[in-house]
Order: sequence, then C-alpha cells, then structure tokens
Amino acid sequence: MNDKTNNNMLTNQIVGENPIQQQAGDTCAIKSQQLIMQQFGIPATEEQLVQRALDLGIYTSDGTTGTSAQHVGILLDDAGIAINQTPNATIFDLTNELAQGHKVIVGVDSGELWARDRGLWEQFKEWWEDLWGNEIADHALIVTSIDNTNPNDPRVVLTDPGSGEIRHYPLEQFMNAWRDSSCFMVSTDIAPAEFAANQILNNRPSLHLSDIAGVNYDDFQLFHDMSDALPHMNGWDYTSNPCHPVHSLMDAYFQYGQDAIGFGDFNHFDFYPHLDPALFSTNFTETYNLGFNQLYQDFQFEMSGMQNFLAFNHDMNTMCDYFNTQALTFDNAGNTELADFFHQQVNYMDLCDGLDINPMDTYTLF
Amino acid sequence: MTDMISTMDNIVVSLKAILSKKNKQKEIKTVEDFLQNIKKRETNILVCGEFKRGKSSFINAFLEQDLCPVDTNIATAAVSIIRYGEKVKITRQYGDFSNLQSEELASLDQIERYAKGKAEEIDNTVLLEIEVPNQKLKSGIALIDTPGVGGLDPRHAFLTNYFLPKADITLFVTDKDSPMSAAEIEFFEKKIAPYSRQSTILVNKADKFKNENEQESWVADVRNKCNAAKTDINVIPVSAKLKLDYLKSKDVEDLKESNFEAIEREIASQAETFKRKLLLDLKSWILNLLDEIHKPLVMQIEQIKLPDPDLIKRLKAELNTYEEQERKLSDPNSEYRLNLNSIINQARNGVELRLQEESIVLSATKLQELANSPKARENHDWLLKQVNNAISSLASELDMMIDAAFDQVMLIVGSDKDYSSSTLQFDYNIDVNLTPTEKSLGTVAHNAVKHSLPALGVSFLVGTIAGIFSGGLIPLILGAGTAIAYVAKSAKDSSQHEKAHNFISKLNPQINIAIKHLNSYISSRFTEFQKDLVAVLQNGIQRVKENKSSVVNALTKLSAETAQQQQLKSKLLTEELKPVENLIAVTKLYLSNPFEKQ
Repeated sequence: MNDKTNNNMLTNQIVGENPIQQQAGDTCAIKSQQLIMQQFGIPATEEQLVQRALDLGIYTSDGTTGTSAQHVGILLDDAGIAINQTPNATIFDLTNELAQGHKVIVGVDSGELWARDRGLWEQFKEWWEDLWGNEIADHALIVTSIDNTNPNDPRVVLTDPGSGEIRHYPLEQFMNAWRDSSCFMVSTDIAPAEFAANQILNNRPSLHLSDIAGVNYDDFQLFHDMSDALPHMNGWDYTSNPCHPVHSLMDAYFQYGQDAIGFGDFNHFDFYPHLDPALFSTNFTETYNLGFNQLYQDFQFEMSGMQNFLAFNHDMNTMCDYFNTQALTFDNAGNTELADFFHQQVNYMDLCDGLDINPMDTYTLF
Repeated sequence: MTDMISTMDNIVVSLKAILSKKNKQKEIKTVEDFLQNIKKRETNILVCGEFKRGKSSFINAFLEQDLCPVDTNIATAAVSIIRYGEKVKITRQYGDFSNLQSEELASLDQIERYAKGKAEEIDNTVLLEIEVPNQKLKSGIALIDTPGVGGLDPRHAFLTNYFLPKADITLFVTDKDSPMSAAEIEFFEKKIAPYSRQSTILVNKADKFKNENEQESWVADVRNKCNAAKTDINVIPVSAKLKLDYLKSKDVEDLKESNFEAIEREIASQAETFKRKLLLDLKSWILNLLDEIHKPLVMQIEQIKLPDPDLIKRLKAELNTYEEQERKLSDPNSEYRLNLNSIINQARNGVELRLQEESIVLSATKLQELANSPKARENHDWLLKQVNNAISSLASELDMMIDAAFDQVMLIVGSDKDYSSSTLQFDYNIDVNLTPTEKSLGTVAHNAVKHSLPALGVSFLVGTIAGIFSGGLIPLILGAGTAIAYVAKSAKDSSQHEKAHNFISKLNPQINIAIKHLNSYISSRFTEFQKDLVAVLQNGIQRVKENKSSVVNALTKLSAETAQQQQLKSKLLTEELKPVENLIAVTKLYLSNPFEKQ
C-alpha cells in the first residue's frame, strides 16, 4: 500500500529497533508479509523481501508508491504460503479466516486509525476527506484477532508495521479504516504451527475454533453465509442509511451468541430486508467441507422412509425432527462433528422458515 | 532463534498428537529427545591459536569478565570450558587421560592456579569446567579456551587437538604482532578447515594497525594464505585490549574500534546457523515421520470403497419395477387388471352369443332336417345320437372358445396353467322315447278319409268331366283310378309328417334343457376361472412383495454400508489426513527461505 502517512509515524521511531516495524516508509505490505512468514518459521528479512519485490516489479522503493493492493500477498505465495485475495470482504469473512488460524492482511486508511492519536485537527481532516469521498487506503497491516470479550464493544487487534505496535481498535473505527480499501483482505490458506498446537493443547480436535463469541463454528457459518448475501460495505449510502446491514447482522450475531434470539427471530433486524435469500442459499451449500450430498446420499432418505414427505410434501417440521434425531444419534455415538452438522441443519431450517425460502432449493437430495 | 525453537515446539506438539493416534510412542520419544537436545545443546565455540596470540584476553574481553588468567610469561596449560550457570561453579579434571579425577574448586581465584604453568605446577590439570552467571553465555554458548599450539610443551598441542573435534565453531586467533606463520597456516589447513563445522580467523591486537589500509591489506593477506584450505574464509580484525579499555573507560569509540560488535554478531550468527542446522535435521526427520503416516493414510482413504453406484441404481430401478407390478396386480382399476377383465368379458359375451345362435339353429333348422330324414323314421336312436352329437359338438366349440380366452389371460398374468384339460366337462345326453303312441282303427279311418276326401273328389270330378266331353266310360274309369291313387298317396304323406312332428315335439324341449345345462356349464367354467385368476394374481402379488422385500433388504444393507464407509472416510479425512497435511505444509515452510539467495 502507498503509505502516505507512514513517514510521519516513522520519524518518531528509531527505525529497525522495533521488530514489528517496517524499515522504510512504503514497505508496510512487505513487512506485514515478513511478519507472517516469521510465524510460519520462514526466517526471511525485510531486506530480502524488498529485494524480491523489486525483482518481481511489485515494489519500486521510491518511498511513496509502496505495494498495490493486487500485489499484496504475492511474496507469501512466493514463499510457499498459499493465499486468497478478497475484495469487498465482510467482518464475517475476516472472522472466518481468523477462526481457522489463517493470517490476514487488510488494506486500511491509516489516517482513520491514527487520527485519534493526533488530535482533533487530524480527526477533522479525516472526516472531511471521508465526506468528500477522498478517503484512500494507504496502508497494509495484520489483523491479529478480534476481541469479542465485551459484545457491546468488540475490538479488532491489529499488528501495525507502520506504528510498530499491536493495538486494539473499536470495531467501528476499524471498519471505517477498512472500508476505504473496499474491505480488501489477503488471507493465508493454512495456519501457523502455533494455532494447531493451541487447538491440541486446548483439546479442540478441529483446525478451527469451536466457538466464536458464544456461537458455535457451524452456526457462525450460517451468519457468514448471510453476510455474503448482503450488500457490499463499499458503495453503501451511509448518509441515508447509517446502519449497514452487516452491522445489523453483527447485532443479531451477538444476540444469538447470548441466547437472546433464535435463528427464526431476524424479522425485526435491519439486515433482514436486504438479505438475498437466493444468494444466501447458494452460499450455504458451498460453505461446508462436508457437503450434505456427499455425506448422505439420496437413498439414505428413501430407505429411512423420508422419501415420500421430502419428495412430495417438503414437510419442514418432519425434516427438523429427522435432523434432530440424527444429531442425537451422532451425539450418542460421540461423533460431535456430525452431530453439530445436523444441529446446524435444524438451525438452517429455522432460518429458512423465517426467511420464507424453501430449504429444498439448496439441498439437491433427489 | 527463540522464535525458531518455539515454532518447532508447536510443530512437535501437533506431531505428537498425530503420532499418538498411531501409537508411535517410540517416535514421539525420539522427536522429543531430539528437540530437548537441541534446546539444551550448547554451541561450543573453541578459541585456539598459537602461543601468546591473546586468546585468553579475547575471551575475557568477550565475556566482559576476567575469567581466564592472562600472564605474558606463563602460557595457558589447561583447557577451560566456560558456560552459563545460575551460580559460579568450577570443576577441575586432572590426572591421566585414561583415568581423570575431578574436584570442585572453591572460587574463581583458583582458576589461575590450575590454568597456567607447567603440568606439574598445575597438578596435571586437563580441564576446568567453569559455570558463571554471565549474560553473554545465556543463549547457550560455551567458550573453550585452549593452550597455544606452537609452544614447546607438546601437551598443549595435544590438549588442543583433543578438543578441536568438539567445536561447533572454531575461532582461530592470530595477531597483528606476527604475520601468519607457516605453522599457523598448516594448523589451520590440517586441523581446523577439514574438521571444523564453521570457522573464523580473528586478527587480534587490531589496535596496532596504523590505519584502515594496513588492516585491510593484512586481512587480505590472511585470507590469501588460507585460501587454499578454505575459500571465502571470514577474517575479522579485533582488539581485546580496546574492548577491555572500553569496559574501564566506557568510551564508545574504544568499543567501536575493538570491533567486538562485529565478532559478537558473527558468533551469534554462527551459533544460530549451527542451531538451525540441527533444527533442519529435526525438520527432515519430522517430514519423514509424517510421510510414513501420510502415505498409508491416503491409501487407506483411497481403499474405502463405497458400494457400486450402478448396483444401487439397478436395485432402485428393480424396486420401482416391483412397486409398479404390485400396484398393477393389486389395484382393480389398474390398466392391467381392466385389460384382463375386458378379455374375460369379451370371451364370455362371445361364448354366450355363440350358444344362443347355435341353440336356435339346432332347435329350428337342424332338428327339422333330422326329423324329416327317412333314417330318423327308421332308426330313432340314430336321430337321438345326431341330436346329442350336435349338442356335444357345440359344447366342444364353446370349450375351445373359453380355453383360448383363458389361455390368453393366463399368458398375460404369467401362469402356465393349461385349461384344455379342465376338470369341468360338459356331459349331458338327451335320452327320450321317440316311438309314436298307438291309434284306434276308427281314428285311422277317420284320418284317412279326412286326408283322402279332397283328392278323391277332385279326381272323381276330373274323370266325370272328361267322360262327359268324351262321351265314354273310359275317362270315368281313369278319373276313379286317379282318385284312388291319390287317396293312397295322401294317406302315406300324412303318416310321415306325423312322425316328424312327433320327433320335433319330443326333442325340442330336451334340446332346450340341454342348452340350459350348457349355459350353466359355461358359467361354471368362468366362475372356476375367476377363482383361478384371483389365486394367480395373489400369488403374483406375493411373489412381487417377496422380490421387493429382498431388494429393499439389499438397498438397506448398501445404505448402511455407504453410511458407515462415508462416516469412516469423513472421519479419516477431517480428523487424520487434514491435520497431517496441514502439518506437512507447515513443517515444509519451517526454516525455508527462498529469498536468502536474492
């Protein structure tokens, strides 16, 4: 990213003393990638990466241009760490990556993050730029985690090679800064060894967190799918609609995590009218590694006597009963993964009921 | 390096979880021990060189602590290994190499007593192991101070040569006072370069260089001299004196000019390179272990065979066929059943119509012909037989019609029942006395007159008229004769007609009765067939149900097998293969750096 403000930040630091701080004013993306490589045990130095970036023509070392968004992550890929670049990501996309221990770099408008430290004038300038649509993403940094300890004040933890600090930012402030890059995100396909080790040491068999802010991982995926079926943050008219649907979905998420609502209780949330059920249901089927069709072939249902009502009636209550029974069976068998899977089908049915969409549109059982 | 160790710690935690599942306890122990050894393993930095090159001074300057006694006149005679310890601890080893004794020394002051001097003066001390809480050593560095190799005492060279192979890094100390001698070059070429894992040549007393040019040309000279033994040898000028001065004066210029920052960086770098080599060995080992698990796991997953989808498809098609068959057999309104009924009804209508037609023909035309037959008058039995034959023939014809219809239906329902030999047989014979009843003489005469009179009158009238006109008696006689002949003929005809009438009047009611019996027989045959058909259909339904049940059982079994195999596959994929592949990917990345050569 082209660090328009980094030089100001760097003048106050002794360059090179801070292990997480970039050594030049325009190497935030390179430094972010180097920090991630370190976590994978790759001992590449910032200098080596700068040289490689120069060789590849993705960095000019002119002190201002930096690395363009489409080139962020190329060095990670070059080092053998497969990555995905996601423009127009949502906070749920980001959380989904973090929940799997993947490392995430985002593009931000650094001014939105740092302005509060610089006083009212800088804050005014940022507000003014935003007002006139002049907001520019000028910085790349690492999203270390999201701290959901206080559901009323979720915080995003950033490792910032520009400031050389690891700091917590209010979610709203982070979103303002992130939105200026059209919510651009680069995520790794695998997690460093530390993540898997922590999972093992905490008796979690899966390579993902089992619980995110009080919501189990599979149910989190439903929210994730819904977020993908909502309008992009970028281009949203915040003047006439201050609350973006994704924020409303976040509210629903936290309430669900606190058992205040169920999946069928979304009608009064702002996101609800903006949800595209078709898109949502399409996303739903693609979310799982264990595809429903792959896991249970169609004749399973035929043989268990489900065929008639599923084929002809689509009786959701009976389907829910069936899924509940299956969940109980797998619970008893100690197969928590499949039990969770079926629990989630029940939630999905509940959700489809609330959204008035046909769940069979997404299941191709027959 | 701490990060590298901690990353390896995490890799080993994941590896242990994977190995535990495979009951590879031995491998776990090996890997754990390997990692523990790496963690504990000191980087042995051996400082060697010719007599009086300032090795001990260098070590003191490096440690920023006066540990090694420095005396220009007395040479170092014992080897000292200096490592980190929470408390000061000095152990002296002495005596014969084959039977070394050891004792603990009370304080650091005693080091000089046993490190410098002739063998007998230091009580045959071979080795001093010194533990000190020195921060320079805390990262796991152990410095080995050795006696000079070029002195008169051969014991010194022996001790140094003995400890050389234990060095991970060798610092060969030369100095500015003496250009590198042939003996030093030979020692470097023969003792250090071939065996040392990593080596650096130090040019001590660098403070004595007049200027940088002199220093550079000196360094170049040393490098050239050792070039034959090792190319790109690292030569670092250093001044122990300036470093020691700095420790007293805190003048940073002294520190800078001492070049100890460079030597510390070099030592840290070489120590890290050494540890990295060990970690890379462990990495290779782990990758081999993971490979040994990954390959069979992939094979195991590949070998999980789901039931043949074509078989399932075929069975499902069979199931559909049986369900359709069951429906068509059991549903009275099915096309199949309606078709069967239609065939039966058509056959029955045809048979009944045929019976009706033939009964009329028999009662009317055929019976008339038979009754008027002269043979019938002569032989009543013959007439009766003819009538019974006609009825039997009709019954046979109707049987054939019925059999054909029944066979057609049975062919459709798939039964091989043969109706040509049905147990039901039409067996009815008309048995009636056809002899006319006896009449009285008066009745006979009356009947003769009654039948003769009209002809007699006509004959007589014709003869009379012919006689009048011809005027003779002859016509009259002819007329009377004709009249008599006619009377005779008339009487005969009347008798035949009466006989035929007698036959018909007696046989017709019998024929009607026979036809009714035949009608009843036909009904019986259709009733019997309906019973048979119901039985055949029920058998068919039962057979279809049995077939369906066996297909359902087969599909249920396949379904259970599929679910079981799917579950096993899913479990292996998510719980075993994925963590292994993830760890392989992570381990491969560990300590790789494709950018290093850039």
